[in-house]
Amino acid sequence: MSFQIRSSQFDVALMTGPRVSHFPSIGVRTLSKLCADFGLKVAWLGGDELQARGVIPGPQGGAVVLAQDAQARIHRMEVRSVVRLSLPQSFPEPFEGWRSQGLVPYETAVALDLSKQMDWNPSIVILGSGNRALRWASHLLETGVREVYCIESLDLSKNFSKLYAGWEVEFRRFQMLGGRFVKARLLSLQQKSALLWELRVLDEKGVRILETTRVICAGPFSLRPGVREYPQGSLLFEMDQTALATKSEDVEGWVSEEVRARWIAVKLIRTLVQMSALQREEHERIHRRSRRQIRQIDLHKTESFQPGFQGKWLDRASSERLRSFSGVPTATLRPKGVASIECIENIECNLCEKACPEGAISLVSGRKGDENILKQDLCTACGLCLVACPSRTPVLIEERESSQALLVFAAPAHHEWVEKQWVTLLNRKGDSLGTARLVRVLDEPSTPKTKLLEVEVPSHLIWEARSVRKPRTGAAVDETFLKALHRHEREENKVEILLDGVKRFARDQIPLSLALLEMGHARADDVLNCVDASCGRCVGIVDGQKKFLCAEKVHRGMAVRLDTRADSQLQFEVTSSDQVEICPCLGMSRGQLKSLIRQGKLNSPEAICSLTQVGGGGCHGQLCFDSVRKIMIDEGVDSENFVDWRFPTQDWSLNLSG
Amino acid sequence: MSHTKDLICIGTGVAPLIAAAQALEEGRSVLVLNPDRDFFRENSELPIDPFYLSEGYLKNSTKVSPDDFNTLALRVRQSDAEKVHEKLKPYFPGSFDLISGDDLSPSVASVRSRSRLWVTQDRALAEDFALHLQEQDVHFQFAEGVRALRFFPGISSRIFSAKHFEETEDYFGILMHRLADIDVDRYRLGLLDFMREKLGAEGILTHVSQLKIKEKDLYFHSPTQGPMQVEYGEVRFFYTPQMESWMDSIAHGLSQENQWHSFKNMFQPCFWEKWSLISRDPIDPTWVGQFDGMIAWSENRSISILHKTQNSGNANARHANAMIPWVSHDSFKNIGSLCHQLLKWDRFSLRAVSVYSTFYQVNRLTSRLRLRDTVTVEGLSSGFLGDIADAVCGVNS
Repeated sequence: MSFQIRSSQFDVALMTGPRVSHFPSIGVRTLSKLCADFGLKVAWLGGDELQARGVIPGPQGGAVVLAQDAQARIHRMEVRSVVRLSLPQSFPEPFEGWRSQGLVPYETAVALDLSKQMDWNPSIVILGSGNRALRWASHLLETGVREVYCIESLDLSKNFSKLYAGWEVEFRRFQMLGGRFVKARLLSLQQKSALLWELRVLDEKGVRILETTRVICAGPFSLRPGVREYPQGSLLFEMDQTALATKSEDVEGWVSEEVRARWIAVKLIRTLVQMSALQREEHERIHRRSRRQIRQIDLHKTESFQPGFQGKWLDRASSERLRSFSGVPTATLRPKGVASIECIENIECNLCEKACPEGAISLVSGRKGDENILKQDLCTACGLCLVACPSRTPVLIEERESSQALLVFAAPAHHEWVEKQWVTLLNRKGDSLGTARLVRVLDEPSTPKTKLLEVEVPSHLIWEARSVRKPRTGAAVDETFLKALHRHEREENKVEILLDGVKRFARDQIPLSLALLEMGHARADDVLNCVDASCGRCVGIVDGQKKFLCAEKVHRGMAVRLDTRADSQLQFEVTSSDQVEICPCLGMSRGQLKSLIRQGKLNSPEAICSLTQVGGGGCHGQLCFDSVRKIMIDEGVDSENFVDWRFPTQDWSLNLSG
Repeated sequence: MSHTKDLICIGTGVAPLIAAAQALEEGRSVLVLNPDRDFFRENSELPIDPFYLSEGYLKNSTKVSPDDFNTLALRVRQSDAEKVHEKLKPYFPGSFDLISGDDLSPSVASVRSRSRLWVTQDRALAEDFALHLQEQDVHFQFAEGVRALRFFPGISSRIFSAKHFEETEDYFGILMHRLADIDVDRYRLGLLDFMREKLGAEGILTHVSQLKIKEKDLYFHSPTQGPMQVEYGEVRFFYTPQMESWMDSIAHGLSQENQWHSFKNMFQPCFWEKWSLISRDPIDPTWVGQFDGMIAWSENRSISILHKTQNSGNANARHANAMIPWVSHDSFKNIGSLCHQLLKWDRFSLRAVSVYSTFYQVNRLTSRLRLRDTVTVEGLSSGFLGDIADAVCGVNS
């Protein structure tokens, strides 16, 4: 038996929490660059090579961080500051039946979608209505899911979602694609068949029953700040990871993560670096930029734009505001047409500006009022801004001296668009404005996801029509639906496995927990699909041995036995919200936790964690801790910024024979 | 703002609260001040009594010295669960139960009655200790081999296999029954809650700074109350490692640096780690095991091991960054050795590590320093002497 511990010292450790997929994200890169520029030693703990296993906060600030590398060697680092990237809250407030495989977190849903094995039809419910939820909903609608609901349940009294920059743009796209938005309280979720669930919600008209293939938790489910320092002054930070792999996938998430990282960097540099005069100047410059960006991001709250309608038409006020916006062209009667940039909301996205080769779009200086956003004289109607926009907001307008005009829209590339056929014109909220002829499908410019469609529309609709779809047909002749329906038949590479004594077909070499989700035989414990066994929940017997299913790959002839006792205990006879189980690891209900807090007169998050052990179970709070925090706040315990630094973020094993 | 208080207790742990509670009972007016952001952040009360009375051990000698067996046996006798419960109950405001070892979810503060298994590989040492226990009239059993090890928390069922059976013959154990294990978290939180209720928001102040002691007045700044001046009858500092730099400046202000310097050198820092590991075998919650200076017990479906760090007892560690000694190579080695050699595990899964800092008194001439007639510094080394019971009794004595 021998241990080799590698000790080192760093100023800042940037580490990932459980299930964080993108590393290093923009936040990590920004933060480390700024810190390194000021001479701070920065450690990256994430990805496949070196993973952080635990943080032990020091009494005077700073911490000891333990990490393990790909060869299972242990690294011990003394650091003056820690920044941990975590996923935003994954689950909504617990409700009856929430602990079931029907309710899957967004990250699991994305993994299932990438595998292209899930058939989301006929209907999907997405909980939350933030940008990420709406974008995912739009994606599903574009890929042929017939009905997608976004349910906002966080704060029904406020227009919560508008807290996010760029929300209006996403919402318009979602509506144009036919998505449905509901503000309602979640009541219960009950399984009807392997791939059909019944979600009951309470909206202003009463109880509504939605039948759905899955309920996807996309959030946001809380209004917590994106950066938490706990304990105050300790330089131990937790930061929400909102950016995806590329900026165009989620501009708002990307920019907000970057801003958060810059804010932390400013604080760390000020505390940890003895600055020279020159450095102080540079620090001040970064600080100013950070403050300006934060102000800019907040602007959309006061300067938002949601179009009003009179029937299907824009009302006068909205129309006037739109036409007077400096991104919208004043002269559209041009031989080649002109782009119309209609992002009236004050958002940080400038992908169209970067895409324009002529410099005809200046969003940054245009929003300051220094110049027009669109310099229409420079626009050559090349269409590059249309394909660059992830929300497909810009259009090309070519007005003619006749009753017909040409509009060019960006549309999903995987649809089979046929020239000279009729398409349905849609307004900004997805209502049909009639049919129009698809004149041309442009080959250039295009991307794998987007194609440009040239559509002939009546001239009076050029400021109303903002999208097209194929005319609705019955399911029996809907190509997208039929394609999705027969996807499994085309799928190869499936092998036979024995699941609880029954023969099943699963894709070869994929994680077993993912295979169970695809087949509809997963348990509530499998929904986190963490891949690294960090939740410690998905235990099963594989070929006679107890294993974590997410860490096991499917292979031909494997025998799997699932422990379904936990699921069989899921009851749908909950009579009050206090009976809802919030901590599945400890089997604790909301009422039990509340009474423990009251009985013990516990008034700090540490005391509650220490005495009730919540968050200390196998999943380390991944399933329950957001709900626990909410209960703490309801019970008058200040835990808004509490970060559970309990060690470790994942289970780990040390091979003593090594 | 100006006030008058009979007693001002200053500290970060449980001792100032007990002193304040005692003074309240006597009808004196009290103010409690804490330079730290909150109470108990330093964890200067250990979760279990390590029964270390050997200064030699704390100075990194690897074994308990036979010279210390007499006091250790006395300590065991004093740790009878019923006696400790009786001793502590009067000072605790609220329900304080005596429970059995297998009661896994007590809802109130309690003293748990647990059996202690002290294991060694040195037969002579075990017999010597047994002799001392006999002299103190402590009820115990002497066991060898598997009979000694089978109660050790987390022990693998592999010890009964032919392969390991022979190895176990080298172990000797002393089994002691009905010893106290105090629910430290609930005790101190219950006490804090009671004192907050009694004294109100203005009576217990945390995060205080800029403290100055004059002839009759104490000046300080509180984030909630702002600058304050309090006329005092008596000031009692309860020294913990966290307060060191704070105390340095106070002694400097009172021109007592030399006295303070020699006083604080009587105390050496001691850093502890509590490792929580997942046990693959069921753990008997009624037993606490002790081997090679490490104490193992069942806690919340996992096995907890209290381990003293290598840097404990090193005076320089006090001045360095206090996080340095934690989870070092030696900690891994010692925990690994316990799991591998004694428990017969082939691997372990780590669930959590929490850290504690206490101090022990090198020279037991005095545990009190008088900075002025009405200003004293108390050095209550609760972690060294045992657990929270020492702090309670120490303050009240």
